[in-house]
Amino acid sequence: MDTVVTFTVYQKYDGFSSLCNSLLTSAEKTLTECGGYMISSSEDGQTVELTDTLASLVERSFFISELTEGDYDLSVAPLVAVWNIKNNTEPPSESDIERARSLVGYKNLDLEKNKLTFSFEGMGIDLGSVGKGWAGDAIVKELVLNGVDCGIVNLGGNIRVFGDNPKNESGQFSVGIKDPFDTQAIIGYVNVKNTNVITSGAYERFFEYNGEIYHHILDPKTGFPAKSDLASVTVICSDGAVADMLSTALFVVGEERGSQILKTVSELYPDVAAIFVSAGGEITTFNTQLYGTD
Amino acid sequence: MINEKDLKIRKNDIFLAASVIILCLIIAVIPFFFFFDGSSVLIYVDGELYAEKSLNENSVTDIDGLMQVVIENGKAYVKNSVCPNGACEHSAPVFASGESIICLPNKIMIKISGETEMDAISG
Repeated sequence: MDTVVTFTVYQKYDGFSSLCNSLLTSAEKTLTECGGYMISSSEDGQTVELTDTLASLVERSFFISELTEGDYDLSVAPLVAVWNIKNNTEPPSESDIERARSLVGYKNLDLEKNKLTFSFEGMGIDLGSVGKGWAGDAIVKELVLNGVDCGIVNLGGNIRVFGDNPKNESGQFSVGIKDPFDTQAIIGYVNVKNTNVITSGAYERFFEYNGEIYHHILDPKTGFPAKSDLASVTVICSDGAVADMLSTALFVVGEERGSQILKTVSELYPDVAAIFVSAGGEITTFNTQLYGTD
Repeated sequence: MINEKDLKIRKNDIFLAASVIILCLIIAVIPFFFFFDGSSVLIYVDGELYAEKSLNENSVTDIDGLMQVVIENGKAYVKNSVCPNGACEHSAPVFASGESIICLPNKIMIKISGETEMDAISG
Protein backbone atom coordinates (compact mmCIF):
# COMPACT_ATOMS: atom_id res chain seq x y z
CA MET A 1 0.00 0.00 0.00
CA ASP A 2 3.09 2.16 -0.12
CA THR A 3 2.56 3.50 3.35
CA VAL A 4 3.65 2.98 6.93
CA VAL A 5 1.14 0.99 8.96
CA THR A 6 1.09 1.14 12.76
CA PHE A 7 -0.86 -1.23 15.00
CA THR A 8 -1.74 -0.29 18.58
CA VAL A 9 -3.25 -2.91 20.88
CA TYR A 10 -3.71 -3.03 24.63
CA GLN A 11 -3.16 -6.68 25.46
CA LYS A 12 -0.30 -9.14 25.51
CA TYR A 13 -0.36 -11.19 22.34
CA ASP A 14 2.34 -13.70 21.47
CA GLY A 15 3.33 -13.53 17.83
CA PHE A 16 1.55 -10.21 17.25
CA SER A 17 4.07 -8.87 14.76
CA SER A 18 3.77 -12.08 12.68
CA LEU A 19 -0.01 -11.73 12.73
CA CYS A 20 0.23 -8.09 11.60
CA ASN A 21 2.65 -8.96 8.82
CA SER A 22 0.41 -11.75 7.57
CA LEU A 23 -2.68 -9.51 7.63
CA LEU A 24 -0.88 -6.78 5.71
CA THR A 25 0.37 -9.28 3.14
CA SER A 26 -3.13 -10.67 2.76
CA ALA A 27 -4.70 -7.19 2.33
CA GLU A 28 -2.03 -6.27 -0.21
CA LYS A 29 -2.65 -9.50 -2.12
CA THR A 30 -6.42 -8.95 -2.20
CA LEU A 31 -6.00 -5.43 -3.53
CA THR A 32 -3.51 -6.38 -6.22
CA GLU A 33 -4.59 -9.82 -7.38
CA CYS A 34 -6.37 -8.49 -10.46
CA GLY A 35 -3.25 -6.82 -11.85
CA GLY A 36 -2.09 -4.28 -9.26
CA TYR A 37 -3.39 -1.06 -7.78
CA MET A 38 -4.10 0.06 -11.31
CA ILE A 39 -6.11 -2.27 -13.51
CA SER A 40 -5.94 -1.21 -17.13
CA SER A 41 -7.37 -2.31 -20.45
CA SER A 42 -5.13 -3.05 -23.40
CA GLU A 43 -7.90 -3.11 -26.00
CA ASP A 44 -11.38 -1.67 -26.58
CA GLY A 45 -14.07 -3.63 -24.78
CA GLN A 46 -11.67 -5.61 -22.62
CA THR A 47 -13.27 -7.46 -19.73
CA VAL A 48 -11.45 -8.19 -16.46
CA GLU A 49 -12.72 -10.71 -13.95
CA LEU A 50 -12.62 -9.08 -10.52
CA THR A 51 -12.58 -10.70 -7.11
CA ASP A 52 -15.68 -10.23 -4.95
CA THR A 53 -13.83 -7.62 -2.89
CA LEU A 54 -12.75 -5.53 -5.86
CA ALA A 55 -16.16 -5.80 -7.52
CA SER A 56 -17.73 -4.51 -4.32
CA LEU A 57 -15.27 -1.59 -4.23
CA VAL A 58 -16.01 -0.68 -7.84
CA GLU A 59 -19.74 -0.86 -7.12
CA ARG A 60 -19.40 1.50 -4.15
CA SER A 61 -17.26 3.84 -6.24
CA PHE A 62 -20.07 4.09 -8.81
CA PHE A 63 -22.37 5.23 -6.01
CA ILE A 64 -19.99 8.06 -5.09
CA SER A 65 -19.37 8.90 -8.77
CA GLU A 66 -23.11 9.25 -9.38
CA LEU A 67 -23.52 11.46 -6.32
CA THR A 68 -20.66 13.72 -7.38
CA GLU A 69 -21.64 13.66 -11.07
CA GLY A 70 -18.22 12.30 -11.96
CA ASP A 71 -16.12 14.57 -9.77
CA TYR A 72 -15.02 11.39 -8.07
CA ASP A 73 -14.11 8.65 -10.50
CA LEU A 74 -12.24 5.41 -9.90
CA SER A 75 -11.36 5.39 -13.62
CA VAL A 76 -8.98 8.32 -13.04
CA ALA A 77 -6.06 5.86 -13.50
CA PRO A 78 -4.77 7.31 -16.82
CA LEU A 79 -4.47 10.76 -15.20
CA VAL A 80 -2.80 9.33 -12.09
CA ALA A 81 -0.27 7.63 -14.36
CA VAL A 82 0.48 10.69 -16.47
CA TRP A 83 0.82 13.04 -13.47
CA ASN A 84 2.85 10.52 -11.41
CA ILE A 85 2.89 13.02 -8.54
CA LYS A 86 5.13 10.82 -6.42
CA ASN A 87 8.04 10.90 -8.86
CA ASN A 88 7.47 13.80 -11.24
CA THR A 89 9.05 17.18 -10.61
CA GLU A 90 7.16 19.05 -13.32
CA PRO A 91 3.67 18.79 -14.80
CA PRO A 92 3.07 16.64 -17.89
CA SER A 93 2.34 18.30 -21.23
CA GLU A 94 -1.18 19.60 -21.87
CA SER A 95 -1.60 17.11 -24.72
CA ASP A 96 -0.66 14.19 -22.45
CA ILE A 97 -3.12 15.44 -19.83
CA GLU A 98 -5.88 15.82 -22.41
CA ARG A 99 -5.23 12.35 -23.86
CA ALA A 100 -5.40 10.82 -20.36
CA ARG A 101 -8.46 12.88 -19.39
CA SER A 102 -10.36 11.65 -22.45
CA LEU A 103 -9.97 8.09 -21.15
CA VAL A 104 -11.52 8.89 -17.76
CA GLY A 105 -15.21 8.24 -17.25
CA TYR A 106 -16.94 5.72 -15.04
CA LYS A 107 -19.87 5.63 -17.49
CA ASN A 108 -17.53 3.88 -19.91
CA LEU A 109 -17.10 1.08 -17.37
CA ASP A 110 -19.58 -1.74 -17.10
CA LEU A 111 -19.77 -3.99 -14.06
CA GLU A 112 -21.79 -7.13 -14.55
CA LYS A 113 -21.49 -9.32 -11.48
CA ASN A 114 -17.69 -9.55 -11.14
CA LYS A 115 -16.91 -8.77 -14.77
CA LEU A 116 -15.61 -5.26 -15.34
CA THR A 117 -15.60 -4.14 -18.99
CA PHE A 118 -13.63 -1.12 -20.18
CA SER A 119 -15.11 0.51 -23.28
CA PHE A 120 -11.76 1.75 -24.56
CA GLU A 121 -8.13 0.73 -24.69
CA GLY A 122 -6.02 2.65 -22.18
CA MET A 123 -8.79 3.03 -19.60
CA GLY A 124 -8.11 1.88 -16.08
CA ILE A 125 -9.18 2.02 -12.46
CA ASP A 126 -6.94 3.23 -9.66
CA LEU A 127 -7.45 1.86 -6.16
CA GLY A 128 -5.38 4.63 -4.55
CA SER A 129 -8.42 6.45 -3.20
CA VAL A 130 -10.06 3.39 -1.69
CA GLY A 131 -7.45 0.74 -0.91
CA LYS A 132 -6.29 1.91 2.50
CA GLY A 133 -9.83 2.57 3.66
CA TRP A 134 -10.89 -0.92 2.70
CA ALA A 135 -7.72 -2.45 4.17
CA GLY A 136 -8.35 -0.87 7.60
CA ASP A 137 -11.71 -2.63 7.88
CA ALA A 138 -10.38 -5.91 6.49
CA ILE A 139 -7.42 -5.99 8.87
CA VAL A 140 -9.57 -5.14 11.91
CA LYS A 141 -12.02 -7.90 11.01
CA GLU A 142 -9.17 -10.43 11.06
CA LEU A 143 -7.62 -8.99 14.23
CA VAL A 144 -10.93 -9.46 16.06
CA LEU A 145 -11.27 -13.00 14.69
CA ASN A 146 -7.78 -13.66 16.04
CA GLY A 147 -8.75 -12.57 19.55
CA VAL A 148 -7.61 -8.95 19.62
CA ASP A 149 -10.16 -7.02 21.69
CA CYS A 150 -9.44 -3.43 20.80
CA GLY A 151 -6.92 -1.16 19.19
CA ILE A 152 -5.97 1.21 16.43
CA VAL A 153 -4.76 0.50 12.91
CA ASN A 154 -3.09 3.54 11.41
CA LEU A 155 -2.51 3.23 7.67
CA GLY A 156 -0.46 6.30 6.89
CA GLY A 157 -2.88 8.62 8.70
CA ASN A 158 -6.05 6.70 7.83
CA ILE A 159 -7.23 5.71 11.29
CA ARG A 160 -9.37 2.65 12.05
CA VAL A 161 -10.29 2.12 15.71
CA PHE A 162 -12.04 -0.93 17.12
CA GLY A 163 -13.32 -2.22 20.45
CA ASP A 164 -13.42 -0.33 23.74
CA ASN A 165 -10.47 1.91 24.53
CA PRO A 166 -9.27 0.69 27.94
CA LYS A 167 -7.68 4.08 28.62
CA ASN A 168 -11.01 5.82 28.49
CA GLU A 169 -14.12 5.12 30.62
CA SER A 170 -16.38 5.79 27.66
CA GLY A 171 -14.41 3.30 25.57
CA GLN A 172 -13.90 5.95 22.89
CA PHE A 173 -10.68 6.76 21.12
CA SER A 174 -9.61 10.37 20.67
CA VAL A 175 -8.38 10.92 17.14
CA GLY A 176 -6.64 14.21 16.37
CA ILE A 177 -7.16 15.87 13.00
CA LYS A 178 -3.96 17.16 11.46
CA ASP A 179 -3.81 20.89 10.74
CA PRO A 180 -3.41 21.17 6.93
CA PHE A 181 -1.49 24.44 7.36
CA ASP A 182 0.89 23.12 10.01
CA THR A 183 1.26 19.36 9.91
CA GLN A 184 2.99 19.48 13.28
CA ALA A 185 -0.25 20.54 14.92
CA ILE A 186 -3.84 19.40 15.11
CA ILE A 187 -7.00 21.43 14.66
CA GLY A 188 -8.96 19.40 17.20
CA TYR A 189 -10.05 15.86 17.80
CA VAL A 190 -13.01 13.52 17.56
CA ASN A 191 -14.00 10.83 20.05
CA VAL A 192 -14.99 7.70 18.17
CA LYS A 193 -15.58 3.96 18.46
CA ASN A 194 -15.49 1.20 15.83
CA THR A 195 -15.08 3.47 12.85
CA ASN A 196 -12.67 5.09 10.41
CA VAL A 197 -11.30 8.63 10.51
CA ILE A 198 -9.83 9.45 7.11
CA THR A 199 -8.42 12.79 5.99
CA SER A 200 -7.54 14.03 2.50
CA GLY A 201 -5.57 17.18 1.90
CA ALA A 202 -3.39 18.78 -0.71
CA TYR A 203 -0.47 18.73 1.73
CA GLU A 204 -0.08 14.95 1.62
CA ARG A 205 1.72 14.44 -1.70
CA PHE A 206 2.69 17.19 -4.10
CA PHE A 207 5.51 18.78 -6.05
CA GLU A 208 6.25 22.43 -6.64
CA TYR A 209 7.02 23.74 -10.09
CA ASN A 210 7.56 27.40 -11.01
CA GLY A 211 6.13 28.44 -7.67
CA GLU A 212 2.92 26.45 -8.11
CA ILE A 213 1.88 23.45 -6.01
CA TYR A 214 0.71 20.35 -7.89
CA HIS A 215 -0.92 17.93 -5.46
CA HIS A 216 -2.12 14.35 -5.81
CA ILE A 217 -5.91 14.80 -5.69
CA LEU A 218 -6.84 15.02 -9.35
CA ASP A 219 -10.03 16.48 -10.77
CA PRO A 220 -11.28 13.91 -13.31
CA LYS A 221 -13.06 16.63 -15.28
CA THR A 222 -10.20 19.12 -15.71
CA GLY A 223 -7.38 16.59 -15.67
CA PHE A 224 -5.44 18.81 -13.24
CA PRO A 225 -4.98 18.73 -9.46
CA ALA A 226 -8.31 19.81 -7.96
CA LYS A 227 -8.62 23.53 -7.32
CA SER A 228 -10.59 23.08 -4.15
CA ASP A 229 -11.90 25.66 -1.70
CA LEU A 230 -10.72 23.22 0.96
CA ALA A 231 -7.34 22.64 2.55
CA SER A 232 -8.46 19.28 3.93
CA VAL A 233 -11.52 17.20 4.62
CA THR A 234 -11.91 14.47 7.21
CA VAL A 235 -14.58 11.81 6.92
CA ILE A 236 -15.75 9.55 9.73
CA CYS A 237 -17.61 6.44 8.63
CA SER A 238 -17.82 2.80 9.70
CA ASP A 239 -17.28 1.76 6.06
CA GLY A 240 -13.59 2.48 5.45
CA ALA A 241 -13.81 2.27 1.66
CA VAL A 242 -16.64 4.79 1.60
CA ALA A 243 -14.82 7.08 4.05
CA ASP A 244 -11.70 6.94 1.89
CA MET A 245 -13.56 7.62 -1.37
CA LEU A 246 -15.65 10.37 0.21
CA SER A 247 -12.66 12.21 1.62
CA THR A 248 -11.23 12.44 -1.92
CA ALA A 249 -14.61 13.24 -3.50
CA LEU A 250 -15.48 15.97 -0.99
CA PHE A 251 -12.08 17.58 -1.42
CA VAL A 252 -12.73 17.87 -5.17
CA VAL A 253 -16.30 19.18 -4.94
CA GLY A 254 -15.68 21.57 -2.03
CA GLU A 255 -17.67 22.31 1.07
CA GLU A 256 -21.01 23.50 -0.28
CA ARG A 257 -21.68 20.62 -2.65
CA GLY A 258 -19.92 18.30 -0.24
CA SER A 259 -22.46 18.99 2.48
CA GLN A 260 -25.32 18.25 0.08
CA ILE A 261 -23.69 15.01 -0.99
CA LEU A 262 -23.18 14.02 2.64
CA LYS A 263 -26.90 14.41 3.30
CA THR A 264 -27.59 11.79 0.65
CA VAL A 265 -24.78 9.53 1.83
CA SER A 266 -26.09 9.72 5.40
CA GLU A 267 -29.35 8.11 4.29
CA LEU A 268 -27.35 4.95 3.54
CA TYR A 269 -24.60 5.46 6.12
CA PRO A 270 -26.23 7.24 9.09
CA ASP A 271 -22.96 7.35 11.00
CA VAL A 272 -21.15 9.42 8.36
CA ALA A 273 -19.68 12.74 9.53
CA ALA A 274 -17.17 15.19 8.12
CA ILE A 275 -14.91 18.05 9.09
CA PHE A 276 -14.04 20.59 6.41
CA VAL A 277 -11.08 22.94 6.71
CA SER A 278 -11.38 25.70 4.12
CA ALA A 279 -8.45 27.16 2.21
CA GLY A 280 -8.87 30.18 4.46
CA GLY A 281 -8.62 28.04 7.60
CA GLU A 282 -12.29 28.02 8.63
CA ILE A 283 -13.60 24.79 10.09
CA THR A 284 -17.11 23.55 9.38
CA THR A 285 -18.61 20.23 10.29
CA PHE A 286 -21.32 17.84 9.16
CA ASN A 287 -23.01 15.45 11.58
CA THR A 288 -20.15 15.60 14.09
CA GLN A 289 -22.72 15.87 16.87
CA LEU A 290 -22.79 12.06 16.52
CA TYR A 291 -19.33 12.10 18.05
CA GLY A 292 -17.63 14.10 20.76
CA THR A 293 -15.46 16.79 19.21
CA ASP A 294 -13.17 19.49 20.48
CA MET B 1 -23.52 65.03 31.99
CA ILE B 2 -20.61 62.81 32.92
CA ASN B 3 -19.63 63.09 36.52
CA GLU B 4 -15.88 63.19 37.14
CA LYS B 5 -16.42 60.62 39.85
CA ASP B 6 -17.71 58.16 37.25
CA LEU B 7 -14.45 58.40 35.28
CA LYS B 8 -12.26 57.38 38.20
CA ILE B 9 -10.88 53.88 38.09
CA ARG B 10 -12.37 51.86 40.86
CA LYS B 11 -10.90 48.83 42.65
CA ASN B 12 -13.41 46.59 40.96
CA ASP B 13 -12.31 47.86 37.53
CA ILE B 14 -8.71 46.98 38.29
CA PHE B 15 -9.81 43.58 39.54
CA LEU B 16 -11.86 43.00 36.38
CA ALA B 17 -9.00 44.08 34.08
CA ALA B 18 -6.54 41.88 35.94
CA SER B 19 -8.95 38.92 35.73
CA VAL B 20 -9.36 39.40 31.97
CA ILE B 21 -5.57 39.57 31.46
CA ILE B 22 -5.00 36.44 33.57
CA LEU B 23 -7.78 34.60 31.72
CA CYS B 24 -6.27 35.58 28.35
CA LEU B 25 -2.86 34.36 29.48
CA ILE B 26 -4.33 31.03 30.63
CA ILE B 27 -6.16 30.61 27.30
CA ALA B 28 -2.95 31.42 25.40
CA VAL B 29 -0.90 28.95 27.41
CA ILE B 30 -3.36 26.02 27.38
CA PRO B 31 -2.72 25.03 23.72
CA PHE B 32 1.01 25.13 24.38
CA PHE B 33 0.64 22.59 27.16
CA PHE B 34 -1.85 20.59 25.16
CA PHE B 35 0.34 20.11 22.12
CA PHE B 36 3.79 20.26 23.61
CA ASP B 37 3.07 18.73 26.99
CA GLY B 38 5.20 15.70 26.12
CA SER B 39 8.32 17.64 25.32
CA SER B 40 10.73 14.69 25.64
CA VAL B 41 11.66 12.18 23.02
CA LEU B 42 12.25 8.78 24.61
CA ILE B 43 14.42 6.38 22.63
CA TYR B 44 14.16 2.71 23.62
CA VAL B 45 16.47 0.00 22.30
CA ASP B 46 15.38 -3.59 22.94
CA GLY B 47 12.93 -2.35 25.57
CA GLU B 48 15.55 -0.36 27.52
CA LEU B 49 15.61 3.43 27.67
CA TYR B 50 18.61 4.44 25.55
CA ALA B 51 18.27 8.22 25.57
CA GLU B 52 15.88 11.00 26.46
CA LYS B 53 16.04 14.17 24.39
CA SER B 54 14.17 17.45 24.52
CA LEU B 55 11.74 17.93 21.68
CA ASN B 56 12.36 21.65 21.90
CA GLU B 57 16.07 21.46 21.03
CA ASN B 58 17.31 20.41 17.60
CA SER B 59 19.59 17.38 17.83
CA VAL B 60 20.78 14.24 16.06
CA THR B 61 21.21 11.05 18.11
CA ASP B 62 23.16 8.20 16.54
CA ILE B 63 22.00 4.86 17.92
CA ASP B 64 25.07 2.65 17.64
CA GLY B 65 25.14 3.07 13.86
CA LEU B 66 21.69 1.49 13.52
CA MET B 67 19.88 4.74 12.80
CA GLN B 68 19.83 8.41 13.60
CA VAL B 69 16.99 10.08 15.46
CA VAL B 70 16.68 13.67 14.30
CA ILE B 71 14.85 16.28 16.35
CA GLU B 72 14.14 19.33 14.28
CA ASN B 73 11.73 22.19 14.85
CA GLY B 74 9.73 20.34 17.48
CA LYS B 75 9.36 17.03 15.72
CA ALA B 76 11.31 13.78 15.69
CA TYR B 77 12.03 11.49 12.77
CA VAL B 78 14.41 8.73 11.69
CA LYS B 79 17.13 8.82 9.07
CA ASN B 80 19.95 6.55 7.93
CA SER B 81 18.37 3.39 9.33
CA VAL B 82 20.11 0.14 8.44
CA CYS B 83 16.85 -1.87 8.60
CA PRO B 84 15.89 -3.79 5.44
CA ASN B 85 12.77 -1.93 4.29
CA GLY B 86 13.34 1.48 5.88
CA ALA B 87 9.73 1.74 7.07
CA CYS B 88 10.85 3.76 10.09
CA GLU B 89 12.46 6.34 7.80
CA HIS B 90 9.20 6.67 5.90
CA SER B 91 7.18 7.17 9.09
CA ALA B 92 5.76 10.64 9.49
CA PRO B 93 7.61 12.79 12.03
CA VAL B 94 6.14 12.55 15.54
CA PHE B 95 5.47 15.47 17.84
CA ALA B 96 2.40 14.83 20.01
CA SER B 97 2.44 13.05 23.36
CA GLY B 98 2.04 9.30 22.93
CA GLU B 99 3.03 9.24 19.25
CA SER B 100 5.77 6.80 18.32
CA ILE B 101 7.93 5.46 15.52
CA ILE B 102 8.78 1.80 15.83
CA CYS B 103 11.51 -0.04 13.95
CA LEU B 104 10.92 -3.75 14.42
CA PRO B 105 14.14 -5.02 12.77
CA ASN B 106 16.28 -2.74 14.96
CA LYS B 107 14.01 -3.20 18.02
CA ILE B 108 13.99 0.56 18.49
CA MET B 109 11.05 2.67 19.61
CA ILE B 110 11.00 6.47 19.54
CA LYS B 111 8.18 7.82 21.65
CA ILE B 112 7.03 11.29 22.63
CA SER B 113 6.64 11.33 26.40
CA GLY B 114 3.64 12.42 28.38
CA GLU B 115 0.04 11.47 28.62
CA THR B 116 -2.43 12.84 26.13
CA GLU B 117 -6.08 12.55 25.40
CA MET B 118 -5.18 11.74 21.78
CA ASP B 119 -4.83 8.13 20.71
CA ALA B 120 -4.02 8.72 17.04
CA ILE B 121 -3.79 11.47 14.43
CA SER B 122 -5.63 11.42 11.13
CA GLY B 123 -4.13 13.18 8.14
